[in-house]
Amino acid sequence: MKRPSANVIVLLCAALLTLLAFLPRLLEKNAANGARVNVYVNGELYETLAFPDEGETQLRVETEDGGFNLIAVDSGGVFMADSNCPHRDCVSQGRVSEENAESRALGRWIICMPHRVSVELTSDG
Amino acid sequence: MDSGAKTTARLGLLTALALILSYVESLFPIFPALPGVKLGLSNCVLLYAVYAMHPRDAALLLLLKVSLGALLFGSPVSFLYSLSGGALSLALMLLLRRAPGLCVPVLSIAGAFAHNAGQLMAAAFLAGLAPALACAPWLLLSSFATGLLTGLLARLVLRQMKKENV
Repeated sequence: MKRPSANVIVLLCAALLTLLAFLPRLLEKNAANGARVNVYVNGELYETLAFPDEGETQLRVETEDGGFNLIAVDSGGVFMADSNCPHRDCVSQGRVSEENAESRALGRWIICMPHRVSVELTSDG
Repeated sequence: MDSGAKTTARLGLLTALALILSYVESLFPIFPALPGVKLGLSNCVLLYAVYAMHPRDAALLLLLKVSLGALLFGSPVSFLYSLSGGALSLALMLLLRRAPGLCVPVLSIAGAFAHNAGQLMAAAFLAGLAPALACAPWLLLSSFATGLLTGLLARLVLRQMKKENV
């Protein structure tokens, strides 16, 4: 058998690793009711927010170097209402709800990399 | 062989080029909903350095680009993201550059992939493993497209440079 070329080996390795990264997403089971929102700062749980019966709950997170993220939860889901990070990617990531959590690129997460702030829609507990 | 002055001049030129490319690119985010997804045009400059320069000079170019980029347009956090991405990408490209039959676009894809993987490692360290894993699938997948594009561009440049005997 002919030895596969370096091109094929490199592409195959990268494809395999990518597939591996997709696996948890594909295996993810459906969330139950009674969801809540976990807010993480620097990788540690900072606060847990419940879904309000009416209106909107807001949480303002401040980083050490003057950055802020404004997280908003209403009956339809959770979203980043405002942030002063460079490209405001987290604000563009839009809303997470039980309905769209599986089809969104980031799944159940809203992530602000520059501020090391992340928001997860969760259902356990 | 390069004289010292020629190498220094070349490094200055390439650093400036890499910086301006990543700045221009940052003005046009291609996929804002996904953190970290970008074309990586400055990878063309690094690819050229990987093929045409001493590994030591390529590493110096990366270090200059990453630290000046963070000073001019970034922050300490963005410095860590681009350093971990850039270092892993450059290390892999230097390791693979002499692999027999490996073409420029595939080396570029490997570099883009390693860059994104390095950024994810930094993200796991800075922002937590779970959000980093949430970014991983589409970020890694995007590196095939971005790596291919910058690799094709770099191949054009390398061919032209060879023809002009630079």
